[in-house]
Amino acid sequence: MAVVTTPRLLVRELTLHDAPFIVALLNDPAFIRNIGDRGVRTPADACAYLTAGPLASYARHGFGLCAVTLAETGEPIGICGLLQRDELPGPDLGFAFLPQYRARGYALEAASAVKADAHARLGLPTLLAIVNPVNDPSIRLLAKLGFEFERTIQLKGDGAFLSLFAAHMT
Amino acid sequence: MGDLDEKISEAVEQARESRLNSIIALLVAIAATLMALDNIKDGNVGQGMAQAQAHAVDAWSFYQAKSTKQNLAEATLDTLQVMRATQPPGAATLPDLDKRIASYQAQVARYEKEKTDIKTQAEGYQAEYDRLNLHDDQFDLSDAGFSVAIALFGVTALTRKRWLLGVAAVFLLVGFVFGVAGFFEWNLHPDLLMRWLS
Repeated sequence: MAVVTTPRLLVRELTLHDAPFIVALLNDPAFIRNIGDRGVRTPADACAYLTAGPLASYARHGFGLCAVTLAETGEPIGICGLLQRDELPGPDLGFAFLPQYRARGYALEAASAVKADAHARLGLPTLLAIVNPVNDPSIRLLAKLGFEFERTIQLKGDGAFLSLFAAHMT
Repeated sequence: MGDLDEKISEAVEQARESRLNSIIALLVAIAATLMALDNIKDGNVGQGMAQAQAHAVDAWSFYQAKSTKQNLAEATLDTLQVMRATQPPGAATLPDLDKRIASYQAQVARYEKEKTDIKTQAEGYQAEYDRLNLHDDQFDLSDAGFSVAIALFGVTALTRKRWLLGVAAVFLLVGFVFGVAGFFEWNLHPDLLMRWLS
Protein backbone atom coordinates (compact mmCIF):
# COMPACT_ATOMS: atom_id res chain seq x y z
CA MET A 1 0.00 0.00 0.00
CA ALA A 2 1.44 3.37 -1.05
CA VAL A 3 1.58 5.92 1.72
CA VAL A 4 3.04 8.84 -0.19
CA THR A 5 4.66 9.40 -3.54
CA THR A 6 7.21 11.94 -4.74
CA PRO A 7 8.64 12.54 -8.23
CA ARG A 8 11.36 9.93 -7.68
CA LEU A 9 10.09 7.83 -4.78
CA LEU A 10 7.26 5.74 -3.51
CA VAL A 11 6.88 5.35 0.25
CA ARG A 12 4.90 2.26 1.13
CA GLU A 13 4.25 0.07 4.15
CA LEU A 14 6.89 -2.53 4.88
CA THR A 15 6.01 -6.20 4.52
CA LEU A 16 7.74 -9.42 5.52
CA HIS A 17 9.05 -9.63 1.93
CA ASP A 18 11.35 -6.72 2.81
CA ALA A 19 13.28 -8.86 5.30
CA PRO A 20 16.52 -9.16 3.23
CA PHE A 21 16.55 -5.37 2.68
CA ILE A 22 16.00 -4.79 6.42
CA VAL A 23 18.97 -7.05 7.23
CA ALA A 24 21.18 -4.97 4.91
CA LEU A 25 19.95 -1.62 6.26
CA LEU A 26 20.06 -2.46 9.97
CA ASN A 27 23.60 -3.84 9.71
CA ASP A 28 24.99 -0.80 7.93
CA PRO A 29 27.75 0.57 10.21
CA ALA A 30 26.26 4.08 10.06
CA PHE A 31 22.87 2.75 11.17
CA ILE A 32 24.46 0.91 14.10
CA ARG A 33 26.55 3.94 15.06
CA ASN A 34 23.81 6.57 14.82
CA ILE A 35 20.63 4.67 15.62
CA GLY A 36 21.66 1.47 17.36
CA ASP A 37 22.23 -2.22 16.95
CA ARG A 38 18.85 -3.92 16.69
CA GLY A 39 20.46 -7.38 16.69
CA VAL A 40 18.90 -8.24 13.33
CA ARG A 41 21.32 -10.58 11.55
CA THR A 42 19.17 -12.92 9.48
CA PRO A 43 15.95 -12.66 7.43
CA ALA A 44 14.20 -14.50 10.27
CA ASP A 45 15.40 -11.83 12.73
CA ALA A 46 14.18 -9.19 10.29
CA CYS A 47 10.73 -10.80 10.11
CA ALA A 48 10.53 -10.73 13.91
CA TYR A 49 11.70 -7.09 13.93
CA LEU A 50 9.14 -6.12 11.27
CA THR A 51 6.31 -7.93 13.04
CA ALA A 52 7.04 -6.44 16.45
CA GLY A 53 7.98 -3.00 15.10
CA PRO A 54 6.55 -1.42 11.94
CA LEU A 55 3.73 -3.92 11.28
CA ALA A 56 2.51 -3.70 14.89
CA SER A 57 2.71 0.09 14.68
CA TYR A 58 0.55 0.19 11.50
CA ALA A 59 -2.09 -1.88 13.29
CA ARG A 60 -1.94 0.08 16.52
CA HIS A 61 -1.40 3.67 15.41
CA GLY A 62 -2.16 3.73 11.70
CA PHE A 63 1.41 4.75 10.93
CA GLY A 64 4.95 3.45 11.29
CA LEU A 65 8.28 3.22 9.55
CA CYS A 66 7.75 2.61 5.83
CA ALA A 67 9.89 1.41 2.96
CA VAL A 68 11.22 4.13 0.65
CA THR A 69 11.46 2.69 -2.84
CA LEU A 70 12.57 4.06 -6.19
CA ALA A 71 9.45 4.95 -8.17
CA GLU A 72 10.93 3.59 -11.40
CA THR A 73 12.17 0.21 -10.23
CA GLY A 74 10.47 -0.39 -6.89
CA GLU A 75 13.85 -1.09 -5.31
CA PRO A 76 13.86 -0.38 -1.56
CA ILE A 77 16.54 2.16 -0.69
CA GLY A 78 15.68 3.18 2.84
CA ILE A 79 13.04 3.57 5.52
CA CYS A 80 11.16 6.65 6.59
CA GLY A 81 8.08 7.18 8.68
CA LEU A 82 6.62 7.96 12.05
CA LEU A 83 7.22 6.20 15.34
CA GLN A 84 5.24 6.38 18.55
CA ARG A 85 7.44 5.94 21.62
CA ASP A 86 6.22 5.78 25.20
CA GLU A 87 8.88 8.23 26.31
CA LEU A 88 7.91 11.00 23.87
CA PRO A 89 4.74 13.11 23.98
CA GLY A 90 4.03 12.62 20.27
CA PRO A 91 5.11 10.76 17.13
CA ASP A 92 8.64 11.28 15.87
CA LEU A 93 10.08 11.16 12.38
CA GLY A 94 12.58 8.39 11.64
CA PHE A 95 14.64 7.73 8.54
CA ALA A 96 17.61 5.67 7.39
CA PHE A 97 18.98 4.96 3.95
CA LEU A 98 21.37 2.44 2.44
CA PRO A 99 24.86 3.98 2.01
CA GLN A 100 24.73 4.02 -1.80
CA TYR A 101 21.56 6.13 -1.73
CA ARG A 102 22.73 8.81 0.68
CA ALA A 103 23.68 12.37 -0.32
CA ARG A 104 21.37 12.25 -3.34
CA GLY A 105 18.44 14.14 -1.85
CA TYR A 106 16.32 11.02 -1.39
CA ALA A 107 16.13 11.39 2.41
CA LEU A 108 14.99 15.01 2.14
CA GLU A 109 12.45 14.10 -0.54
CA ALA A 110 10.99 11.18 1.42
CA ALA A 111 11.04 12.91 4.81
CA SER A 112 9.38 16.05 3.40
CA ALA A 113 6.58 13.95 1.95
CA VAL A 114 6.12 11.96 5.15
CA LYS A 115 6.09 15.15 7.22
CA ALA A 116 3.49 16.74 4.93
CA ASP A 117 1.40 13.56 5.11
CA ALA A 118 1.64 13.57 8.92
CA HIS A 119 0.04 17.00 8.93
CA ALA A 120 -2.47 16.51 6.09
CA ARG A 121 -3.67 12.95 6.69
CA LEU A 122 -3.02 12.46 10.41
CA GLY A 123 -3.58 16.06 11.49
CA LEU A 124 -0.50 16.15 13.69
CA PRO A 125 0.19 19.70 14.87
CA THR A 126 3.75 18.91 15.96
CA LEU A 127 6.21 16.36 14.76
CA LEU A 128 9.22 15.35 16.84
CA ALA A 129 12.55 13.85 15.87
CA ILE A 130 15.34 12.40 17.97
CA VAL A 131 18.88 12.14 16.74
CA ASN A 132 22.35 11.30 17.98
CA PRO A 133 23.88 14.74 18.72
CA VAL A 134 26.94 13.98 16.59
CA ASN A 135 24.93 12.84 13.56
CA ASP A 136 25.46 16.08 11.62
CA PRO A 137 23.97 14.95 8.26
CA SER A 138 20.65 14.03 9.91
CA ILE A 139 20.62 17.24 11.94
CA ARG A 140 21.19 19.28 8.76
CA LEU A 141 18.34 17.40 7.11
CA LEU A 142 16.03 18.13 10.06
CA ALA A 143 16.94 21.82 9.85
CA LYS A 144 16.01 21.82 6.15
CA LEU A 145 12.67 20.24 7.09
CA GLY A 146 11.96 23.03 9.58
CA PHE A 147 12.79 21.17 12.78
CA GLU A 148 14.26 23.12 15.68
CA PHE A 149 16.30 21.83 18.59
CA GLU A 150 14.22 21.52 21.77
CA ARG A 151 16.38 19.80 24.39
CA THR A 152 18.65 16.88 25.18
CA ILE A 153 16.88 13.75 26.39
CA GLN A 154 17.62 10.17 27.42
CA LEU A 155 15.42 7.30 26.36
CA LYS A 156 15.00 4.15 28.42
CA GLY A 157 17.23 1.27 27.42
CA ASP A 158 20.76 2.13 26.40
CA GLY A 159 20.66 5.49 28.22
CA ALA A 160 22.28 7.38 25.34
CA PHE A 161 21.83 11.15 25.25
CA LEU A 162 19.83 12.29 22.22
CA SER A 163 18.87 15.64 20.76
CA LEU A 164 15.12 16.20 20.57
CA PHE A 165 13.89 18.34 17.67
CA ALA A 166 10.37 19.53 16.96
CA ALA A 167 8.58 20.92 13.92
CA HIS A 168 5.37 22.83 14.61
CA MET A 169 3.08 22.47 11.63
CA THR A 170 0.14 24.69 12.55
CA MET B 1 14.59 -43.87 82.80
CA GLY B 2 12.05 -43.14 80.04
CA ASP B 3 11.32 -39.76 81.57
CA LEU B 4 14.99 -38.91 81.75
CA ASP B 5 15.56 -39.91 78.10
CA GLU B 6 12.67 -37.74 77.07
CA LYS B 7 14.02 -34.76 79.02
CA ILE B 8 17.49 -35.24 77.57
CA SER B 9 16.23 -35.42 73.98
CA GLU B 10 13.99 -32.38 74.62
CA ALA B 11 16.96 -30.44 75.94
CA VAL B 12 19.07 -31.47 72.94
CA GLU B 13 16.28 -30.44 70.56
CA GLN B 14 15.89 -27.07 72.30
CA ALA B 15 19.63 -26.50 72.13
CA ARG B 16 19.58 -27.36 68.44
CA GLU B 17 16.68 -24.98 67.82
CA SER B 18 18.33 -22.31 69.88
CA ARG B 19 21.54 -22.75 67.81
CA LEU B 20 19.54 -22.43 64.56
CA ASN B 21 17.86 -19.30 65.89
CA SER B 22 21.23 -17.85 66.88
CA ILE B 23 22.64 -18.49 63.42
CA ILE B 24 19.56 -16.95 61.80
CA ALA B 25 19.69 -13.92 64.10
CA LEU B 26 23.37 -13.41 63.32
CA LEU B 27 22.84 -13.71 59.54
CA VAL B 28 19.84 -11.35 59.64
CA ALA B 29 21.92 -8.83 61.56
CA ILE B 30 24.76 -9.13 59.01
CA ALA B 31 22.35 -8.80 56.05
CA ALA B 32 20.58 -5.78 57.59
CA THR B 33 23.88 -4.05 58.38
CA LEU B 34 25.28 -4.60 54.88
CA MET B 35 21.99 -3.49 53.38
CA ALA B 36 22.10 -0.25 55.37
CA LEU B 37 25.67 0.41 54.18
CA ASP B 38 24.60 -0.35 50.59
CA ASN B 39 21.76 2.14 50.86
CA ILE B 40 24.04 4.93 52.04
CA LYS B 41 26.55 4.30 49.28
CA ASP B 42 23.80 3.85 46.67
CA GLY B 43 22.33 7.21 47.67
CA ASN B 44 25.66 8.87 47.03
CA VAL B 45 26.03 7.04 43.72
CA GLY B 46 22.53 8.23 42.76
CA GLN B 47 23.49 11.82 43.50
CA GLY B 48 26.64 11.44 41.41
CA MET B 49 24.56 10.01 38.55
CA ALA B 50 22.12 12.90 38.68
CA GLN B 51 25.02 15.34 38.61
CA ALA B 52 26.76 13.58 35.70
CA GLN B 53 23.45 13.37 33.84
CA ALA B 54 22.78 17.10 34.30
CA HIS B 55 26.30 17.95 33.12
CA ALA B 56 25.96 15.63 30.10
CA VAL B 57 22.57 17.10 29.14
CA ASP B 58 24.00 20.62 29.42
CA ALA B 59 27.10 19.72 27.41
CA TRP B 60 25.14 17.98 24.62
CA SER B 61 22.69 20.89 24.45
CA PHE B 62 25.62 23.30 24.20
CA TYR B 63 27.10 21.07 21.47
CA GLN B 64 23.77 21.18 19.62
CA ALA B 65 23.63 24.97 19.89
CA LYS B 66 27.11 25.18 18.34
CA SER B 67 26.00 22.78 15.58
CA THR B 68 23.02 25.00 14.79
CA LYS B 69 25.24 28.08 14.62
CA GLN B 70 27.71 26.19 12.44
CA ASN B 71 24.93 25.07 10.09
CA LEU B 72 23.74 28.67 9.75
CA ALA B 73 27.28 29.88 9.08
CA GLU B 74 27.75 27.11 6.47
CA ALA B 75 24.50 28.05 4.75
CA THR B 76 25.52 31.72 4.65
CA LEU B 77 28.95 30.73 3.38
CA ASP B 78 27.35 28.69 0.59
CA THR B 79 25.21 31.66 -0.42
CA LEU B 80 28.20 34.02 -0.42
CA GLN B 81 30.25 31.60 -2.50
CA VAL B 82 27.44 31.31 -5.05
CA MET B 83 27.17 35.11 -5.13
CA ARG B 84 30.90 35.43 -5.66
CA ALA B 85 30.85 32.91 -8.51
CA THR B 86 28.21 34.96 -10.33
CA GLN B 87 30.16 38.26 -10.10
CA PRO B 88 32.01 39.40 -13.22
CA PRO B 89 35.82 39.43 -12.93
CA GLY B 90 37.08 42.64 -11.37
CA ALA B 91 33.68 43.57 -9.89
CA ALA B 92 33.83 46.14 -7.11
CA THR B 93 31.94 43.84 -4.73
CA LEU B 94 34.56 41.05 -4.92
CA PRO B 95 36.89 42.30 -2.16
CA ASP B 96 33.98 42.70 0.24
CA LEU B 97 32.60 39.26 -0.66
CA ASP B 98 36.03 37.69 -0.21
CA LYS B 99 36.32 39.31 3.20
CA ARG B 100 32.92 38.00 4.25
CA ILE B 101 33.67 34.53 2.88
CA ALA B 102 36.92 34.42 4.84
CA SER B 103 35.10 35.55 7.97
CA TYR B 104 32.45 32.83 7.66
CA GLN B 105 35.08 30.20 6.87
CA ALA B 106 36.85 31.18 10.09
CA GLN B 107 33.55 31.00 11.98
CA VAL B 108 32.80 27.51 10.64
CA ALA B 109 36.31 26.35 11.61
CA ARG B 110 35.95 27.89 15.09
CA TYR B 111 32.58 26.18 15.67
CA GLU B 112 34.07 22.89 14.52
CA LYS B 113 36.90 23.19 17.04
CA GLU B 114 34.55 24.25 19.84
CA LYS B 115 32.26 21.32 19.03
CA THR B 116 35.16 18.89 19.29
CA ASP B 117 36.05 20.23 22.75
CA ILE B 118 32.43 20.17 23.96
CA LYS B 119 31.94 16.66 22.56
CA THR B 120 34.95 15.39 24.51
CA GLN B 121 33.54 16.99 27.66
CA ALA B 122 30.02 15.59 27.06
CA GLU B 123 31.37 12.10 26.39
CA GLY B 124 33.34 12.32 29.64
CA TYR B 125 30.16 13.11 31.61
CA GLN B 126 28.34 10.36 29.74
CA ALA B 127 31.08 7.85 30.58
CA GLU B 128 30.90 8.91 34.23
CA TYR B 129 27.12 8.47 34.19
CA ASP B 130 27.46 5.00 32.62
CA ARG B 131 30.15 4.02 35.16
CA LEU B 132 27.99 5.11 38.10
CA ASN B 133 24.91 3.51 36.55
CA LEU B 134 26.67 0.15 36.60
CA HIS B 135 27.39 0.50 40.33
CA ASP B 136 23.84 1.73 40.97
CA ASP B 137 22.57 -1.47 39.34
CA GLN B 138 24.98 -3.51 41.46
CA PHE B 139 23.67 -1.87 44.65
CA ASP B 140 20.08 -2.45 43.54
CA LEU B 141 20.79 -6.14 43.01
CA SER B 142 22.64 -6.32 46.30
CA ASP B 143 19.67 -4.74 48.04
CA ALA B 144 17.32 -7.25 46.41
CA GLY B 145 19.58 -10.15 47.42
CA PHE B 146 19.70 -9.02 51.05
CA SER B 147 15.92 -8.39 51.17
CA VAL B 148 15.09 -11.86 49.84
CA ALA B 149 17.66 -13.40 52.20
CA ILE B 150 16.15 -11.67 55.25
CA ALA B 151 12.65 -12.79 54.24
CA LEU B 152 13.84 -16.38 53.80
CA PHE B 153 15.65 -16.30 57.14
CA GLY B 154 12.33 -15.34 58.73
CA VAL B 155 10.54 -18.23 57.04
CA THR B 156 13.36 -20.56 58.11
CA ALA B 157 12.95 -19.50 61.74
CA LEU B 158 9.24 -20.29 61.54
CA THR B 159 9.39 -23.55 59.61
CA ARG B 160 12.70 -24.89 61.03
CA LYS B 161 13.60 -26.18 57.53
CA ARG B 162 17.35 -26.21 57.33
CA TRP B 163 17.46 -26.41 53.52
CA LEU B 164 15.68 -23.06 53.44
CA LEU B 165 18.58 -21.65 55.42
CA GLY B 166 20.85 -22.74 52.52
CA VAL B 167 18.64 -20.98 49.96
CA ALA B 168 18.60 -17.83 52.09
CA ALA B 169 22.39 -18.02 52.38
CA VAL B 170 22.68 -18.09 48.56
CA PHE B 171 20.68 -14.83 48.32
CA LEU B 172 22.80 -13.39 51.11
CA LEU B 173 25.89 -14.27 49.08
CA VAL B 174 24.42 -12.67 45.93
CA GLY B 175 23.70 -9.51 47.92
CA PHE B 176 27.20 -9.56 49.38
CA VAL B 177 28.99 -10.10 46.04
CA PHE B 178 27.11 -7.30 44.25
CA GLY B 179 27.45 -5.03 47.28
CA VAL B 180 31.22 -5.55 47.37
CA ALA B 181 31.34 -5.05 43.57
CA GLY B 182 29.53 -1.74 44.04
CA PHE B 183 31.75 -0.58 46.89
CA PHE B 184 35.02 -1.53 45.23
CA GLU B 185 33.83 -0.52 41.74
CA TRP B 186 34.33 -3.91 40.18
CA ASN B 187 33.32 -4.31 36.56
CA LEU B 188 30.77 -7.00 37.35
CA HIS B 189 27.94 -6.47 34.84
CA PRO B 190 24.47 -7.54 35.93
CA ASP B 191 23.18 -6.51 32.45
CA LEU B 192 21.00 -9.49 31.67
CA LEU B 193 19.32 -9.51 35.05
CA MET B 194 18.82 -5.74 35.05
CA ARG B 195 17.35 -5.78 31.55
CA TRP B 196 14.90 -8.39 32.74
CA LEU B 197 14.07 -6.44 35.89
CA SER B 198 13.82 -3.00 34.24
